Amino acid sequence: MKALPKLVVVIAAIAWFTAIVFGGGALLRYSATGGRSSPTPAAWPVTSKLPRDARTTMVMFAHPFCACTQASLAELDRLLTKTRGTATVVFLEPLNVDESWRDSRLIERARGMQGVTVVFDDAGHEASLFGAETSGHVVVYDAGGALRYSGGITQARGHEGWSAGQESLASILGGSASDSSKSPIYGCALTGSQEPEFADKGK
Amino acid sequence: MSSLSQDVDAVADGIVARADQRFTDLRNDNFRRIDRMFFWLLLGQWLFGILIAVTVSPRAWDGTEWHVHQHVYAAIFLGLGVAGLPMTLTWLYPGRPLTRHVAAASQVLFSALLIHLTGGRIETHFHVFGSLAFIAFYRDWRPLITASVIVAADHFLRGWFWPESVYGVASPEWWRFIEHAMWVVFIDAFLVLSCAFGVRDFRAMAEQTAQVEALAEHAIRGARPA
Repeated sequence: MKALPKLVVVIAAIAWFTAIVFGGGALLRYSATGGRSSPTPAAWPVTSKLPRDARTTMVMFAHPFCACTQASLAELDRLLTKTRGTATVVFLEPLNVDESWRDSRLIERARGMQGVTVVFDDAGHEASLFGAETSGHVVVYDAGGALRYSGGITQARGHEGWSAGQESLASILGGSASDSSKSPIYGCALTGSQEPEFADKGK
Repeated sequence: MSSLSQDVDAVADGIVARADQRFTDLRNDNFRRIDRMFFWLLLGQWLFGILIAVTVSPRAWDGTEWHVHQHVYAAIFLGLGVAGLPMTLTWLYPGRPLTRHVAAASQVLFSALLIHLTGGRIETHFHVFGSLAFIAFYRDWRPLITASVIVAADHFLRGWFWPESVYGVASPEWWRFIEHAMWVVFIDAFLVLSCAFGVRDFRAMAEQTAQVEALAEHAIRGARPA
């Protein structure tokens, strides 16, 4: 094989490395971009039918097929194990979908978690009440119904590990913080960009 | 100087030159062999990355609509980008120093990609150390330095801009970068040593081969009828 000029090879290697760095940077930027959310009500919505705990009520809104939510569930599992708390995981069930929306791997996993109650959100009604638009959104309300936390509990899309949200949530559950906090939520959109917002939003 | 002494010097010089040649051949053969192994390793890692992406995160959802997850595109195209140049070089230009450096850089970049595709799993971080050990198969310490500098630069930059993705906390101590780098230096120290031992073994093998070849030639010449 005839050797290419050394300068050409070195330039190709530098161009290759630069392209990889920019490609990797774009991937990291995507991973670190949080999802949408509407303002979370400061008080527990009176029309909500979700179960409430006598002390602190923690709710996670989830999309049954969102790959990123695997990490959110893993972090929720760690949190519940650490604090011995309970949570309700609300899985989206849009209108006119088949049975698979009630039987995904994420639902199965959530059902197997200690302290977790799984409920299905018909047409995203509950999510719209709480302003949740991204899978993995966690809200916490105290016994009086006041909002204590609203946000995500993962450090990036689909990435397990420490996150600021999880730390503040652990503090709140441990009773050592009193203000409501907000952290980015990493996950799939609970409602599509082309379809109308949740069917009964605003009712 | 006597004729016998001149003959001995000539034979010794011949053995030294032959040993140098054998040493160079052994090292180049090894470089080419490891380059070939890197070709298949990089190909395997690329396919493995795609398999992980389509298994762990095949789709991203917007309500009831879905599209192919960014991780699948990253595994295919970024993975091909990471593997493409080194695979080309290891196939077309095996044994060249630049081929070794590009392969070493690619190998640790693959570590970063696989860590990302597996959701930052701590277990996948061990790929870095396996990669450094594989690079040491070259028995050349220089590509190890290339790979280690990239690992350190990745930690430094991500530690600066996105510390929780590397250290698991948002405000790590300033020396955490050094702590991580020191573990890479720790394994590098042993791998560089193993490279030096490997080169020494090549040298000893080359000298023995040269001596045996010279003796064999001498014996054949002595046995040949006048």
